[in-house]
Amino acid sequence: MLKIKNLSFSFGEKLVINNFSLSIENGEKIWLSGPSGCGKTTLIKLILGLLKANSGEIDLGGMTPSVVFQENRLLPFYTVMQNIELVGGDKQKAKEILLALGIGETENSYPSSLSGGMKRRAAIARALSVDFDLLILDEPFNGIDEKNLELTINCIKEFTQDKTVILITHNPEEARLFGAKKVEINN
Amino acid sequence: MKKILKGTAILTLWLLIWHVTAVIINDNFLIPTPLETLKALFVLCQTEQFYLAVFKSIFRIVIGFILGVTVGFLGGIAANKFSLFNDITKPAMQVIRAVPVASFIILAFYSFESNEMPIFIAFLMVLPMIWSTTQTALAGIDDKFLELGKVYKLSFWKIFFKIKLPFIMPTLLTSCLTALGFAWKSGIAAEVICRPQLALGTLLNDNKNYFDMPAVFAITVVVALLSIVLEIVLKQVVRRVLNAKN
Repeated sequence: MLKIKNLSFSFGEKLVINNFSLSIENGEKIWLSGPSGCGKTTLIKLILGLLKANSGEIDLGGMTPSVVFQENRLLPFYTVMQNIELVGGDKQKAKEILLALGIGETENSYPSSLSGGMKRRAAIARALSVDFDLLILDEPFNGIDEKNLELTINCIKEFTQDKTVILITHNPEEARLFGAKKVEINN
Repeated sequence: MKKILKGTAILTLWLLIWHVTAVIINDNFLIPTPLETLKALFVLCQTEQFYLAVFKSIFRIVIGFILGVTVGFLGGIAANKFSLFNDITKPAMQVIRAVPVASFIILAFYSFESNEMPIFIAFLMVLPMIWSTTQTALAGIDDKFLELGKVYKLSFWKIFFKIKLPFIMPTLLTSCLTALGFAWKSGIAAEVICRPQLALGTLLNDNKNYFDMPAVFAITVVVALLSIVLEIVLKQVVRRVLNAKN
């Protein structure tokens, strides 16, 4: 179980997260919702240990996280498969996921040769290919066209069946298709 | 073919300008003709000493260059990682950059053997360039990529060799090309002043003392050509390294 208790964080003088608490059961899928700038991305950075809270506690309950950041963060000098292997992704599993995402042919392609939507799906494939218990998705469907949206959502659902997922999106339809429970964050 | 013809035409034009200038001045002590220079080069090429001087000059300067690149690279990494180390070493790097080569040669004249001086001077020229390039390039890497390493708990070495190094490699290799040119020129200057046995710089100095200006010109041409050859060799290495990366 992931437990966040009385979490507060500020950038200098600006309080971004104020005394926030949340518990997520193992295998639960939640949709973090809230207006822009309310601290959703900051919260996931705190969960991932990329930022240090001013006060409060975060307990991942021993879960190993994986993440799709708001940006693709694909290293430009590696192919899609090399990007996946760099973070410890399993090659065989990655091939399956790339196929399921409709970009099976891109495993040996460099990010610069891919379209925006393909890069996004490659970033999703990277996050899904590693061993994880907790998947954090920050605006994961940005740049993915309507035709591939459902395919992508179904693929993520298939590979996260018994995993805990935190989804950030501004699109309620994406959250609905994903079947995530809404959690409002508004400080 | 067109490129070769164009290159030959340009070279011929410059040789012609050189020749006409020499004929107008009409004093081979000031400026010998290209033909006189070629003759002097032919004479030099018949001596074993000349080849040994070429080999030893390249050897000394390349050693200095490699030392400069190695220490500069490691220093740049340390300066990027530890701010106190950066604060301590920054003035030293600034001094090395600011002080003229000739001053260093004179200052170090009694500390080094004449054979070692070109190595030391080449090292000093390369060191701050590679140091600051490494430090700046590392600082310029987008944190977003490094966060990947933190999330997926990649080791320090994996983050360095698989993320940081590929990011800084193109900048670093370009800096190495510039540094090699500086190392070569300053190394030869150090040889001229310190006169080690068997060195192009010593040959230059000796021939100047004998008032053999065609030979001085011939050696200068050799120095320039070797600089171009070294740059081409390093460019090939750089290209191979970058291609291997991609």
